[in-house]
Amino acid sequence: MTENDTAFSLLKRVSKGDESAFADFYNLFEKRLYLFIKSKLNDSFEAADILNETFLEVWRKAETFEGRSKVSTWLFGIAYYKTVDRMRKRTDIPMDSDNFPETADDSPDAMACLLTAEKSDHIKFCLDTLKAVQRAVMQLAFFEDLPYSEIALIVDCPENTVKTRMFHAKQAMKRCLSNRMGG
Amino acid sequence: MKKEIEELLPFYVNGTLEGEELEVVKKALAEDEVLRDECTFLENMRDEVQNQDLGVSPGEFGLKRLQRDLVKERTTESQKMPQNDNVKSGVWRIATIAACMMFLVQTAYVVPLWQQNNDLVAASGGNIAHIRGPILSVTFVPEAQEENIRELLLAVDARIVDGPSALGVYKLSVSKDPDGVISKLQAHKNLVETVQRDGGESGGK
Repeated sequence: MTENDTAFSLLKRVSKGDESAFADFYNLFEKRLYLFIKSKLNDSFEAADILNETFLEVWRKAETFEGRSKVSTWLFGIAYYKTVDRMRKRTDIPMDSDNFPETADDSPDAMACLLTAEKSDHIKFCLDTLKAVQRAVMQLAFFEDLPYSEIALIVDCPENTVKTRMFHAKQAMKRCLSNRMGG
Repeated sequence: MKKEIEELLPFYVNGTLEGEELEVVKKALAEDEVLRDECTFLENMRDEVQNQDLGVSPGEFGLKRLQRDLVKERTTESQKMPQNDNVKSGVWRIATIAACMMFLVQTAYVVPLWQQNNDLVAASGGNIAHIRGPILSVTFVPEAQEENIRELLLAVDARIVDGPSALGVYKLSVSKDPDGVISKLQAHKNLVETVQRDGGESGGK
């Protein structure tokens, strides 16, 4: 039985008001979902709030899930929407902006940085500097290991936009690492 | 073309690329060293993302909070339902009282009118006194002209208040002296075929 089969069967029981199935569903996704939300918000309290709101939404809307996508895609989509909505409320920056600078940095320093043993801190720092939409795509691609088609469903944008955002995220990471190496 | 391959690389690295796209990327990697470096860069980045420490998730505390919110939500819903019912039943109660009041007022107004029995209005628009007077049933001869009938009725001060029926019977209301009117009508045998007082004796041709 795949994770999606398990999740789908739990969701069916949740739609009938089964609280124990709801607890199992929570345990199945809670950690990953929290990391996904926190990767964009950088605030553990707000991330916990949105996690809670997301699961409450699942409880209310479980019966509307038709199985046309994977359960995780549906779930992460709800979380993404709620996260973006929260970010919109606290900032005027448009969250769907794709106007990223095109200045790629392929300097050897950036590459070298990633090959050193101390790379970890630099990468963490640079990941935090990514724009929210880039971080969301990066998280879904590299933490959840999702295909671009599924990421497109979650963040509700065309598949090509997902690829472009990922490309810009990589360029921004290179630029940031290069700066940190003094390049 | 190179940018297209570069855009596919992250998904080659996370192992989700398949079919033709996978083949294209593999071929490009075999031929291009720069792309292979890009691939290494992305693999390192993926490792870091996988190993990132984003702190401790809410776990059991989050579940407890969620369960508490569910109870709260259910309580709120169950409180709302009776409130709504109360509001609805309150509205219906007011509507029922209003309807009852209206019925009483109408009854108080209409019943005395019934008791006066003056709701019958003559087709001729004549006064009520005639209608309340004696009623005569009359049939006219087939040859009778409307003009002649009209003159006769005006002469005896009678009004048609009903008819003709299927048998050609007219009801006449007379103001006074019904016997005198009957006599006068019977005297016009060229017009009146039969005449009788309702509930009284009849006179005929």
